[in-house]
Amino acid sequence: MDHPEAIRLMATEKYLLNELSPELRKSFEEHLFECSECEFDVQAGYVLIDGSKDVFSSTAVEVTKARVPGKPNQWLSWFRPAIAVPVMAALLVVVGYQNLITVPSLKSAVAAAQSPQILNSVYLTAGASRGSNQVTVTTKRNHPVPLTLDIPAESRFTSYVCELQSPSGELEGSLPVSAEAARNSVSMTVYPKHGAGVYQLVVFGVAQDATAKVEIERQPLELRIQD
Amino acid sequence: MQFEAFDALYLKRLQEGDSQTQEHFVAYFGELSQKKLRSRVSSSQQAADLCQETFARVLRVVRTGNGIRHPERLGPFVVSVCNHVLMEHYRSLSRETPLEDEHSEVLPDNRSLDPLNSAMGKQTAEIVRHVLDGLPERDRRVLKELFLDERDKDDVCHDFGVDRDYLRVLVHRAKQAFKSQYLKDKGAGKGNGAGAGGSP
Repeated sequence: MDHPEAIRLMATEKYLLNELSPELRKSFEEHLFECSECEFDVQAGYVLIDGSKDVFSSTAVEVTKARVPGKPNQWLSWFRPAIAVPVMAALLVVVGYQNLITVPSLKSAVAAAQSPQILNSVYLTAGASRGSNQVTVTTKRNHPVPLTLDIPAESRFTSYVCELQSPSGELEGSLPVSAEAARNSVSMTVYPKHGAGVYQLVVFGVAQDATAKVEIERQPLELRIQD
Repeated sequence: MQFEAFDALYLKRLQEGDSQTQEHFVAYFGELSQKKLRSRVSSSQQAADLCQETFARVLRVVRTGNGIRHPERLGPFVVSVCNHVLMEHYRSLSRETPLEDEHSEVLPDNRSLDPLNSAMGKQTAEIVRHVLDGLPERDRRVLKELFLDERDKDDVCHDFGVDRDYLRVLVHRAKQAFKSQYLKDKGAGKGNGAGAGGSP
């Protein structure tokens, strides 16, 4: 291959693009040894290809960096419609539920609690309730249960503690009672949190050294809810 | 040995000292380089010595871990090494470089093994950027898909609605623009010594 033929064939460009047949490739490489102009051409082509790779890859990195928002702008991304619209919809549902269901229910409960009403207190007699005598109480949901309890006072105890245990055995509330108060019937109001079930009202006696409390009374209390 | 092309397998064999591959390498490039060298030095013995020196240098690079990253560029690399060996021979004889080799300077490359070329590499990269900036957006994208993404040329042609001739002409135009700008920038420094050669 001579130089005019290399030019006519665009041999340099085909060589750079790897388009020459093996025969033409060898012929052109043979020509490269003789033709400094074509050799320079090929070298220039390789530098252009390598340089282009660098330029294009660095440009791609710059574009990627430009697309990544800085920290201050990250907050703004929350206001994109894709995020903001579902969040707003969810908020509307929550607000609507609170306004239509939760708030009226609480208002009703507060009004009921604040309004004068007759409470039929459950009287728990000391001794008589010990054992399996379960007392049944029927009340409305979220309403308090008034109890009147006789505590079997003993001189070795300086005070007493009344505890209400839920059907699962958890402590629902506790009321300390002095020895003096225990001489009379003790009235209390309990708020069962676990709904219907068999609660336990347990009375403990506390000795003077207050090291331990001794169970002296356990009263099962079945709670029924009347809607 | 059936030779198809200078590819990664060929280079690997050469690197590992495979005798058949080395024989092919010597036969293929020996013939080409001897022809050139014989016409430029005074004796066939000198030409043979310079040829051996060329092969020794090329094989040294080939056997270096990352010596040659583009197997298809082996041919031009041997040519550039051969030119360097010849230049050094001329210098050792205190002769001037023959005028017919006016373009025999080897372009520097920012990936050159010669650290002295790093500054010129940056300059070259600037020229490439300048050339690419001067192209229409579509042509830039075509070159990106060809060179950086290394996509199949037929697929690129199909996607951009062009043919192979268009690709060749585009490469030709970009290359000419690069050469023109490079030679213009290098004008002042021309003749102050060539680089160690582009990375093959």
